Amino acid sequence: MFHLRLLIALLIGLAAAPINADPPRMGGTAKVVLGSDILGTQPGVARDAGTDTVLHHIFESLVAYDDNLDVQPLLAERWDISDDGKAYTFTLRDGVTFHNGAPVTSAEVRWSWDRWLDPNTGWECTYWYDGTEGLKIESIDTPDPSTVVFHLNKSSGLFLAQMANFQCLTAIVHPDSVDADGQWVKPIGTGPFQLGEWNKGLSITLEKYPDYVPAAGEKSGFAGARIAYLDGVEFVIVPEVATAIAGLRSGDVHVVTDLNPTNEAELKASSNVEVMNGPGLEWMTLLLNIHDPVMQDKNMRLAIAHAIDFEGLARAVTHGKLGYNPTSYSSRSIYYGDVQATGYTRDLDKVTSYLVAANYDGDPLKIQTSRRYDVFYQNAVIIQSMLREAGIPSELEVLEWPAHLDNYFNGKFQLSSFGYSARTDPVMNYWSVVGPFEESPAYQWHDKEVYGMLGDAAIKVDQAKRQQLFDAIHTKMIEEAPTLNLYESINSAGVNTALKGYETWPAAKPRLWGVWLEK
Amino acid sequence: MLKYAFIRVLAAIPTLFLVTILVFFFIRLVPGDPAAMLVGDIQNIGRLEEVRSSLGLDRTIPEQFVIWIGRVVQGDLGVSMINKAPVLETILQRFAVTAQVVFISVLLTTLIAVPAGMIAAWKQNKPADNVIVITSIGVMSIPSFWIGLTLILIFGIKLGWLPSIGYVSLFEDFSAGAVYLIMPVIALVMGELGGVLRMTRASTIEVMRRDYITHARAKGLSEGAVLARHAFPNAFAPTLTVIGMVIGALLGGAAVIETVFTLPGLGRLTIEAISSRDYSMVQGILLVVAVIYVLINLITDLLYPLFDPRMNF
Repeated sequence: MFHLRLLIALLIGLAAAPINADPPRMGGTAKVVLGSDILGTQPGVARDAGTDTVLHHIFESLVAYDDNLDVQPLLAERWDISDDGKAYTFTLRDGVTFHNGAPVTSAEVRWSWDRWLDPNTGWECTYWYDGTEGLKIESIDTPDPSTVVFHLNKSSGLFLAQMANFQCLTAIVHPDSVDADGQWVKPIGTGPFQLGEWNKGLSITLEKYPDYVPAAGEKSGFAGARIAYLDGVEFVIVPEVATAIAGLRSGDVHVVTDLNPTNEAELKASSNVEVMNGPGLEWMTLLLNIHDPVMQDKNMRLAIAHAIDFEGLARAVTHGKLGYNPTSYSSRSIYYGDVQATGYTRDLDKVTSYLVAANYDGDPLKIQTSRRYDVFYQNAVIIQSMLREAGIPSELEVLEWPAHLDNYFNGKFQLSSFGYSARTDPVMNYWSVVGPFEESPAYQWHDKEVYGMLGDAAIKVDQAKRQQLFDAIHTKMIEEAPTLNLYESINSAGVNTALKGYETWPAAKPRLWGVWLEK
Repeated sequence: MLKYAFIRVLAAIPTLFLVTILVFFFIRLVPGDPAAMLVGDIQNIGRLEEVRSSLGLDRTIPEQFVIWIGRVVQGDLGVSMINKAPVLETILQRFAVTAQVVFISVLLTTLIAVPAGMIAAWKQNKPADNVIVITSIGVMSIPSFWIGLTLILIFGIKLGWLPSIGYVSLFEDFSAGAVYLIMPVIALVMGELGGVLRMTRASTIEVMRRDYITHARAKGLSEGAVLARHAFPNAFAPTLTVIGMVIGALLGGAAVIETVFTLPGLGRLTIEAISSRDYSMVQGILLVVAVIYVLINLITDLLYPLFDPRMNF
């Protein structure tokens, strides 16, 4: 038995070994496509996905997610949590310097956090740490230059997860990044690349930071060794997908992300492009507005839930790559178990009985969607067809993305084919849909019991106890059907074969450290 | 002439004021909210009203208009609602890109279309005329994005002669800049050629029927001299109007070409600003575009007497 295990381990090891055994080559500039220009260089203030991608090359946090979405130290060497769970002590790595050559000490860590937590900065996620959602950083101590202590108002199962968040980068920045008035002037971080030139509307050029000191361990997610083999990275703004694909085929750019299956098929014919994909962290959903007179009836919502073939829908849209995920979190999450895999199965008899119970009068439902993210539209079209087959007529209302988003915020829809950005902990996923209606009509589900359970899960650190809570919430969500989760997103990238070492990962964001250009 | 120009500029003020009112109110009638675009789905969604307030969107629309127009008359177009970049500075940066492509394209269009149109008129209803007219209509009928993508496919991917992505300003590096501009310029020339050519042909045909052309021929002048000395100056004035309109339209935004060829120009900025409901940027762009139209029309009118002495200011 032992030998069999050893053999299997060896085979897995061989399979996982890099296909290209050539050593990394130094030099060169890789070009990566961004769909739109970045919104700024101050992390978490004016941000979108592209801005986050660029800034993750310039800045680093104390901790970061690895490929498996576990939180790992990055600028910190390690952390210790007090017995009551209310004090987190981070020990900083030795020898790390900012792009201006200054050493990283606890003073800059504290200065950075003070800036992010100051409401005047406009950092998007201050509310995660100011008590709005329960967790509050009461004070930050710096007992010595390499130690930082965060004192929380209560223990938290989320603190490290939020600190490692992709979107609200808790960057450690040098104070010279701002002027005497506190206005942001330039990004001075600790990452493997520093800002070269921002040619607005055209490109952002990053240059290798020669004195970068990598963390221990293999490159993994945003954690591990972030070694820059390239001299630079140029993020090129290409709003038109067809042009980006042409640029990849002609070799003018090296990486294009967010491909759809049609683009993938086109690129697979190119000998100089490799298509990579894997499950992501965004999730697709059909929102059922429970303020709507028709949708407020649980029987109506359950009729819709049983009219949809979720597995077929997911397989059709992802071209067979992914199946149904009844939750809002990744199927690779440690909290995704048998309970979470239980969703709805298509049953037209049940649909009929639920429709009778709801006294449905046959009026067509309205499904809102938009085409900025084409999957929203594809999901809506397939759902409309499945509903029609089940005896529920519906009309599609195809809007421009700003109008679609505005209606989501204002609760102006009956059904909406929608999707959410990546979250890395089930509590954060649930908080996107569970909340008090009086605070925002965008919350889809206001159940005090569930709200309480989420509050508990946010505090608890124990994995087993959190699992029990997530199981209970999921079971209740399937019973109530306040919103119907469809499937998790798929990350895809087209990569020029001259670029070696590039990998996709669940957060989807391109990483240009640990990669190199062939001659 | 100066007096005429001054009166025209003064007359443009009510036009521009009307444009500002229409732009300001119409963009707010379009569904969508810049605050929602800023908040996205990561921020605390309860903050929507706070963000609206920080953008001044919680005030009544007339109040917002008075604040905005008060700044505009002082030359301040404000900052972008999305990325806080100064509106005027951003527009001028983007306009510089568009202007390079547009002026080269219009110059080439004129150099090709005017002689071709005159030859077509000279050879009216003969094979040369038919070839020129059919070709011009054919080229004019192809959508510019299709021309753009086809050029990229042929010269960028298949032949690998030209870069399919990127842009370098001619003022920074002329030879590199020229390489990046070849395909966008070809696409724009193909799109605008037909209109200018057909106007030149029509006005030349009209002129060629005049007595002074017969007189010139009777004097024994060569056909080339008749066309160049007598037909061209008289036929060009209406074409000049069309060229002025083409310049105005393209400077206002060659959005499709800029998007396909990744040029960071004014047209792409307009599309981006509308897509993100960046009200302050959209208002600024459309005001600047209106000013461009007024100026181009004025310049065209002032150039008229050079070709048509009957026009005298």
